[in-house]
Amino acid sequence: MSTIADRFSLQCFLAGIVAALLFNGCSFSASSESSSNIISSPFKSISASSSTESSDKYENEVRDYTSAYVRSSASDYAGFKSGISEIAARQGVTNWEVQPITYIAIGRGLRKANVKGIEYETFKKNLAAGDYSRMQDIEKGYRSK
Amino acid sequence: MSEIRFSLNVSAVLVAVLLLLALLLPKVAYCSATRTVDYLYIDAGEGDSSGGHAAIRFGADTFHFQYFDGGLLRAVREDSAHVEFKYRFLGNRTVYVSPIEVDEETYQLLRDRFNHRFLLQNQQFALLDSVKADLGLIESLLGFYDGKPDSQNPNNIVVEIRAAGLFLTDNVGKSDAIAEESPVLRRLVARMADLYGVEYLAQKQASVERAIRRLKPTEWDLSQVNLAEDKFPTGAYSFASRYRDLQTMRVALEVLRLGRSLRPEAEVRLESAEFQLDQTQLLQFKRYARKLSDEILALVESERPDWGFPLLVAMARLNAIERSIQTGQLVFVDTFDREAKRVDSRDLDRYQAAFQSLLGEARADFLAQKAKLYSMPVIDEFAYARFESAANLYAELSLGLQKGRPIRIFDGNLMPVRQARLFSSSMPRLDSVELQLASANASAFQVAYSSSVAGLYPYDLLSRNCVSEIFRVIDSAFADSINRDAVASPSGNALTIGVRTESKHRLGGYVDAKLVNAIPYVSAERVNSAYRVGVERELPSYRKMMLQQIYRKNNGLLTYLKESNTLTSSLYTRNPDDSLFIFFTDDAVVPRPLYGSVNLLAGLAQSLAGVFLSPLDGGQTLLNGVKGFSMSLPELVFFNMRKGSYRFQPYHRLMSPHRVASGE
Repeated sequence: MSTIADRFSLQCFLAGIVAALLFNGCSFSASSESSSNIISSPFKSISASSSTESSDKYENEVRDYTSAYVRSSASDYAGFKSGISEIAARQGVTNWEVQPITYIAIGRGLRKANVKGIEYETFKKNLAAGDYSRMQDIEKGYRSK
Repeated sequence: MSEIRFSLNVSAVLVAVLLLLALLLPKVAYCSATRTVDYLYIDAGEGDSSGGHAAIRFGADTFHFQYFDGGLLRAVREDSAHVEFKYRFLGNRTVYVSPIEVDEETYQLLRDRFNHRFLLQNQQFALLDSVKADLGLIESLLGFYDGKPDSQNPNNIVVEIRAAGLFLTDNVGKSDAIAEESPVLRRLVARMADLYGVEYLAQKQASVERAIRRLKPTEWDLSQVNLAEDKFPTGAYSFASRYRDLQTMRVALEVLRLGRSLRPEAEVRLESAEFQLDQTQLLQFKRYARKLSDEILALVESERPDWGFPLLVAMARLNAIERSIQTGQLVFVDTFDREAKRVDSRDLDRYQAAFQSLLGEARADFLAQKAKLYSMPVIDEFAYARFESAANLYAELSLGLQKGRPIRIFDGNLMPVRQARLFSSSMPRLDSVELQLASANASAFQVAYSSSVAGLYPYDLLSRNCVSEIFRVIDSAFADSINRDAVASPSGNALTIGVRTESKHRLGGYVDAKLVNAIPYVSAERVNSAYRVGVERELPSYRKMMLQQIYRKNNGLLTYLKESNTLTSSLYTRNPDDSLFIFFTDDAVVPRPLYGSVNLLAGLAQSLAGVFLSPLDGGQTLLNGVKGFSMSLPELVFFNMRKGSYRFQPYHRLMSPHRVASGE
């Protein structure tokens, strides 16, 4: 198996500089890629991972999003929920409110953002819209490792 | 005296040992690195990354930076398997993996930083999209008030509602006598009346109508345009978003009230034994139908501002499941976008073998998702969505290949979204003065915000590209770590020195991604020499991988000659996305200039032909010829960019764990 060092020669290096200067050195965005790429790779989103892995991915994304959001402005709950809707949509989920994992992930996100005390209690109540079982799920996520 | 000297000598040795331990211990700690962060160098490709590309991979997530329209450089996060498939097997480009050994803390620090950058940029660009949407809506409303309404129905405005197309055709009014009724939705409405009162639905609809009329435009705050790379911006639940969500609720409630059935063209069925339900499966579906019904009843009371769309989807799925229960044959909701592109018939011929493989894979995937679903004690939406999507793909390919129906292209969406364009008499009560003021405010915000975004994320070939950004993010993660731990936060040169030291400590070295180091393949070489990198792996491109297999069986001259060119190769079919070329040069180093000359001539010939064909094809042949010519130039000096790419490839066969793990 060749290594980069094997392929690396002065001529290639010089030619590479020329190429990089003449042409674009990095990928264009997905919008400029051929959309016909997509049909050949549908299975990564369906079967490459199981629904358990899908819910794990969803949980991690909600956690990270919550953590980032509450460290910023954090009073726009409608905007926050809109963000959760988008994350859920990527896993094919529309009714994320009935998934306990949503609130567990939110709890984990609050812990990751190091939110404590009254601030934590306020977030917990508002993000759960006052629903007791959702607040319990947030608490569960907050206390988990 | 000798005793004292002996004591002094022993003490000196002890001190030396202690000092040595103090110096070595950090290295010992990092020698027990438990994770790897992969630096990926992706070989050059024609068109979109002629100088190669770079990415950083953390397990299932790969982060990289791409050029977007408007000269912007944005962070992208993709599934690692998808990235590999896209570049290796569709783009036909080799991927080189440099596994950087790190400890758990460094792994999480870097992963969190890259993810934060991605989320932050997403939020910033979402805000830009929101203000543009607001401007679009304001313009529509102004058009209405200025006397330019829809000519077919002068009292209504047209709105596009996601998932409404599953029940309604475009421009349908409030009632449609032809549409079939849904017994399951009728029963649901009756339950709702029992629970919440007979007037409940009508009151809910009236409440939504009032909310639409009371809508006010967003007051865009110009102080928010000062963006920063580390400041997560406040989201905006904009005027256009509120309008869209309220209209969706209005339509969803109307569908429920009328007890609409799914449109026949929104159903997916396959006449196949694999779609039959046995008694156990029927019982499980009945349980899921009851669960969905309960969820629908709860959704209309939700405080979510966007419950209209999940309500439409849930009703659609409930209809499909009810039909499945009645017939004993699986029925699914169509998950394709109404504007979904179709596979070109020439591509069907060109990639016949790939499509047959894809059909086999789709069938296997459908059966696997079915088995998983039926093994669950309680079906949830995660599992059902995947089952539904798998069924859609299988049916689409099956009906397309076996019955000649045009095959729609799957865009990664995992839920039913079919839109409908509907007239609506419900609109915000705003006069043209209010709308003009709102338009001016939104325009000012858009201009200022766009300028701020362009200033923060400009693309530059050498100083702000896919490589430089990776190392800027790494540096910023280490800078934050230093500032967090320091009593007094260092700045300027002290911080720069601190970041370099931190990088050496955590990664084994430092890479300054400036000038020539910002070229992707040079950066990979720098990573390999500077960082604590394990064994580098080469994940060969599709063609290289297949050639290895072919040469294992027969590596004679004739085989080489056959596979060396696009005219006789068994591995490549002419792809219109590629420029015209004769010889493959990625695996031919010594004869590269000779092959490149032939390719150059082919490009030149195509360009000349293009000059004459321009009036007929709008210059397309000329453009392709020029592209082919320019892609051949580097080949004359031993540099290869063009590989030949593929529009379609089977996924599982190429991405099997064996191949991925072995780096074949």
